[in-house]
Amino acid sequence: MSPSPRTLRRRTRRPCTRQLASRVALWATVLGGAACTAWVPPPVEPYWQGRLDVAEELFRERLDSSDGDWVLMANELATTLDAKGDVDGAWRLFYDAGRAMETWDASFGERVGTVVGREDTREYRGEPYERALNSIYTGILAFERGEPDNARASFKEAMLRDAEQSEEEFGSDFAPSFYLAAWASRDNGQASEARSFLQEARQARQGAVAHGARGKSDPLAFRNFEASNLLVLASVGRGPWKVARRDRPDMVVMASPTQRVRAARVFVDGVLRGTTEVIGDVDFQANTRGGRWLDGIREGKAVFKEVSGTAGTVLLLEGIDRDDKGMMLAGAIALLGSLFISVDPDLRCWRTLPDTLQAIALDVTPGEHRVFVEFIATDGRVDSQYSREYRITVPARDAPRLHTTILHARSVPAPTPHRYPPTGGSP
Amino acid sequence: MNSCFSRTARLAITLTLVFLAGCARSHMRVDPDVDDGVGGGGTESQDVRTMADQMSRDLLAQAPLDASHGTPSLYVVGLDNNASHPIDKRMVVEMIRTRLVQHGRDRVRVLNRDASTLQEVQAERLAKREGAVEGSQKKALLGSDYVLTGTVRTISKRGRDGMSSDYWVYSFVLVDLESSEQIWANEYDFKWAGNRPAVYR
Repeated sequence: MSPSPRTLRRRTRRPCTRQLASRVALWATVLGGAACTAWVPPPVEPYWQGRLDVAEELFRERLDSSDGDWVLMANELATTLDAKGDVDGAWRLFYDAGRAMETWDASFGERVGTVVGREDTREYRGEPYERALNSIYTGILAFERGEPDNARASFKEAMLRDAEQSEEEFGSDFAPSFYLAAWASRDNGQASEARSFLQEARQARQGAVAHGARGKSDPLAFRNFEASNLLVLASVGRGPWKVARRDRPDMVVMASPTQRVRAARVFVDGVLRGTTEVIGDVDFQANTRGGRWLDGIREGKAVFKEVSGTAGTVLLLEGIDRDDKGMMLAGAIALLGSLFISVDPDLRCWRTLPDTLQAIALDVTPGEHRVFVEFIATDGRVDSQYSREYRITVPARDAPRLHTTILHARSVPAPTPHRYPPTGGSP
Repeated sequence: MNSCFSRTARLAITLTLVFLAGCARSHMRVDPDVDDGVGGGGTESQDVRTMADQMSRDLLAQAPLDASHGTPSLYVVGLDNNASHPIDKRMVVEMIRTRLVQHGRDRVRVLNRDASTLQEVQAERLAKREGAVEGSQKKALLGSDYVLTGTVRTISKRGRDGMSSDYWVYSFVLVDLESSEQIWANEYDFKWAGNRPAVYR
């Protein structure tokens, strides 16, 4: 008996279904493979070597073709422009990156890609410490642009961002946000608000030092706040970066590089006025949540993989024991799912951040001044390639409200290093 | 034969879809008054435009400007940011000023008191008076009858599981520079609320 046409159709369909399945598998492999390419950042060494033009070109090029790391590249480019003295250009980029950091919307594709592919395929929004530092630098530059109110708003934003935690609610413990908000508030004519922020800065600093942050719990810059009209800020050293833990590749830990400089010495008109002190420990901020030290940053997907794997095994064994095929199937699916989930950690981080934020608060007479900043190397000597001079004009004291000056120096080699010791100066 | 055709057709459809997906425009011109779908939580283009339009039109329609001594004059002093987020203050101020100039030609004279512009004006006046450059018209610098000021405030809340909300209020007032009377005020507000998707927690 010859087979009916219906049976023939069914027979010819079977290989097609198999082909379709193999095609789906092939596409999934191709798409999965596309999402499995590790993040390769542009070199950051030119920035740390003081070759700022080269660094700018590299970051700018990457910014134009960014794929999920626009925020990161914008922040690194902004840092470079800031180091070059381009206040408006740096502010614009920090500001834009800061707004993008507030955009949490993730497309369906991005969410699926993050689950199926690598963690670093999602749009980067930054860790709390990076988000807080974006706000702090936006604020410092707003101050330099003559917008102390916008500066204060940025410092307040830094407090909010530092307090963002996923598991528990902690208060912000990053003292620079409060301390700089105190300066901005006073400049805005709000003395009582300034005192309140200063008090919060003290509490945050004491809490951080008690939990292991470097530096003094009550730095001189805090004590001299009331009597000062010039704040010299220094971004000192090279900040931490992310690495995968050797024993747990799904865990991200922060690694600290060997530092070349440890503090900055400040001269005004050739006279040594003091050395900067730590007001914010970036390494501590990156490694802690509300003062609690982290073993590592573990992304949600790694937790999901572990949970689904365990649940799958339990269901499968239970299903075998009870001879329950449904339970066995559910267990097998969960186990299979956990096997296919990639838990490659997201190692992206803002690589041009400093190791510490330091400050010295000074009282200087109104008028024009030459401020010379030199960085002290870890062996105690002055590394002259980092030294630079600034010319500032300090406003009159009888102005309607106290106008202060904030000067910010970064410890990267200066484009034209000042190699002479100022009068009354350094050894 | 049929199977072969359907296989070829399926391949063609797949390739066409892949091609179309690859050719989809990633950048396009969009209406600045419409939500761009990118998401956010701050002052967006539609806020700035709506605010500038509303404030300038309402001021020109409602403010009791004294025109007894000719067309009154005003200048926009800027925005005082009391919020918990930075904003591009200059953009907001410039848009309001532009609209006041556009719509208030007969009702009000808008002065530009930006420090850099004033510096340019003074340098040019000096050059004309010293004969360094030619200038037929010599006028006095205009004094202002009114000043338009603005303040931005926010109430920001952060909760568990990435929940957040930000309430924004932009308030504007017009003050008589002789009497200090506040003769006009208006505000523009909006609120954002949301949470971080699980992939960001």
